Amino acid sequence: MHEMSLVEAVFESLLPLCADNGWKRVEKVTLKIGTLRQVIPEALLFCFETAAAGTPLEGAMLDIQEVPIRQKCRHCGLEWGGEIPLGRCTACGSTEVDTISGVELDIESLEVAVDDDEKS
Amino acid sequence: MTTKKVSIFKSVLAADEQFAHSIRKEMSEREILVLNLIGSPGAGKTSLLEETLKRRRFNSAVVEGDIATARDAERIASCCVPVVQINTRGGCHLEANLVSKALKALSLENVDVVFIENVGNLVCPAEFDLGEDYKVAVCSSAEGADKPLKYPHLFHECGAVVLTKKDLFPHVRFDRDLFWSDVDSLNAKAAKFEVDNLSGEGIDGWVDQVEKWLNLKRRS
Repeated sequence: MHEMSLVEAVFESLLPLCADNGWKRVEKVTLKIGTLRQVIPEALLFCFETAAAGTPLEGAMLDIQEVPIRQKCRHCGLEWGGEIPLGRCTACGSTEVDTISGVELDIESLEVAVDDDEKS
Repeated sequence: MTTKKVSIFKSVLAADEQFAHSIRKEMSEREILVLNLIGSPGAGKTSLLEETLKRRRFNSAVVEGDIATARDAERIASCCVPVVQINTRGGCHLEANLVSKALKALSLENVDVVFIENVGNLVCPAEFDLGEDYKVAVCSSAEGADKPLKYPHLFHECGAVVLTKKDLFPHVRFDRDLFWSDVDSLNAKAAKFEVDNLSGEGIDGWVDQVEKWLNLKRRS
């Protein structure tokens, strides 16, 4: 249950940003989360709603975009995806395999409410 | 009022990653190897450490992570090595900001290896970079042979897998071939060990690996 830690980190990052920019209401937060990060979306949503109360993020929609696991062999260049990461290339058997996606844990974007004259 | 979209492109854990980065930099300068031991409660992490420390092949210091109590730190202290306990008070994993504070409380003069014993848990600790050189997955035969595939992130990422309680293989019908073939499919490069913490069987091979990593770090 590391979802609360992740939500705390999201808020530590976003609340100062809201204060600095004068954003009083955030409508949507988009996170990119890799399959390998073992995050349970429902738990993340619950923690987010709890932590958002009384902040500019209260009522914001949390959009969790799951990024599937992709791997690539350094030796033969084969790329593949799957439910679990592999330690060996499925074609040439090399162990020089990179995980090129599926480990993301990123704040992608925000949608904030702004006065019309502020919009740029 | 209208809506404005703002791109952020920032890691959720950016603040904590800064701490991990500082730890890695400082430990590189001091040529200290840092290992992050991760496994379920009762897997044998503390016993593995006790057996490792007893052999005195290098100077060690230990950071103990637990939800509550200083019991593990007391066990380690009786091995006469510097130890500091972190109580997470319910937190299911260690974070680099906590480890950074703990390291400041340790005297690292003449230390070769810092062992961080993470909170007993196979899931969350794998997600947090503590500035270590390698994660080490510690799994006991009593947990069952299916654990690597059920908790793939740790087994995929770690530098070594230590299978403990090998003396229990026949009693818990441990499927050894399945365990190691699953580990191999997730992480063919991981160093692999079977140990019995009670008799000390297999510990030397693991300690050799720690020494090998330490020498690699000194040469880099």
